[in-house]
Amino acid sequence: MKEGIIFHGKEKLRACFNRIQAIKPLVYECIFMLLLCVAGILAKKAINPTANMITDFLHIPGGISTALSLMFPVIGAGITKGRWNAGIMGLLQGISALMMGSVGSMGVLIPMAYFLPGVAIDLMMMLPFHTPSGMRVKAFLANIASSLTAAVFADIMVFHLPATVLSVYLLVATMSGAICGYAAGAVINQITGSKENE
Amino acid sequence: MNKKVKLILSGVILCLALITSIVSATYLKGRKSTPENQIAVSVNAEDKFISLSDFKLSSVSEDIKNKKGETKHIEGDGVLIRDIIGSVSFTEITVISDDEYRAALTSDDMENAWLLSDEGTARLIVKGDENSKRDVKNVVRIEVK
Repeated sequence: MKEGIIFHGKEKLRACFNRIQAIKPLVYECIFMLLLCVAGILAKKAINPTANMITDFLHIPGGISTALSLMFPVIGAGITKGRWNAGIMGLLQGISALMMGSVGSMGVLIPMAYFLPGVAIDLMMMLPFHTPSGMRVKAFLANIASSLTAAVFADIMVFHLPATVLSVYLLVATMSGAICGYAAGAVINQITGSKENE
Repeated sequence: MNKKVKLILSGVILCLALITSIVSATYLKGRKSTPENQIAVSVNAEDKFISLSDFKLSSVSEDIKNKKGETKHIEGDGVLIRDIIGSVSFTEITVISDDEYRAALTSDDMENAWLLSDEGTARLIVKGDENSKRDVKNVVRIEVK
């Protein structure tokens, strides 16, 4: 009877240990995603003065620094491979931005302005390209799609730009997204250790 | 395979850069520029340039909401938009900043819409607004329709 209790206790302990082992990667993933969210906001803040010089010259209300901050959810989604991770990260990033006061022209709409591009990233990451080259393409497209989503959302909600300015704004957002997406793809393959010439 | 993908993606970026440059150059060339420290007032597509110093400025003090939703007190010298456009009849006035951010005013706002002198530039504030959507900094153009 006593042995039975000990055995039962050991089993319980082992089951608990196994459960912790199973949760461990999930916890690491959450911490990793959280760090990427903060890094995205900080990167945006850091690049803002330089980005503003370009956007001021072009007389458009933004489009560059957002692409850079969206590169981090793209990297996060590419590495963790969770189905809706980018959407969650986008929402977290938006809430962090609101708390850090880095809201730009969006004001209190900022969580939505990050969540929707996050969903765009998730949708692109669902594309059936499973090779390291495929991941590069997915990261590239995901960053472009998310930057465009952010730009369109900002225009609908805040800017209401006329067609000519809007076309420049969207093109700048697309190009910034493409450059950041290219970099994101390289980072994902580097971190996941995927062989470049599969 | 991966080299080919890299090459294609780089090509796409280059094409995008080229298209963006061409569209931006066309836009900047066709853009109506406003001389420094002046504001273009467009009535029926006819431009007239004004400066805030042309008007008798009044002292303005108001609590406004910033983008984070916090209340911020601002003080300065300014002029009512109504005094700038005069007796021109209109259905809507659009106030445009240097980065093309725009805010619309109607005849109901004429008692509350002020153009303030803000560090050498003009800034629109509308007294009584619940949010900062019509807080336009660096105003360069006013379109009266």
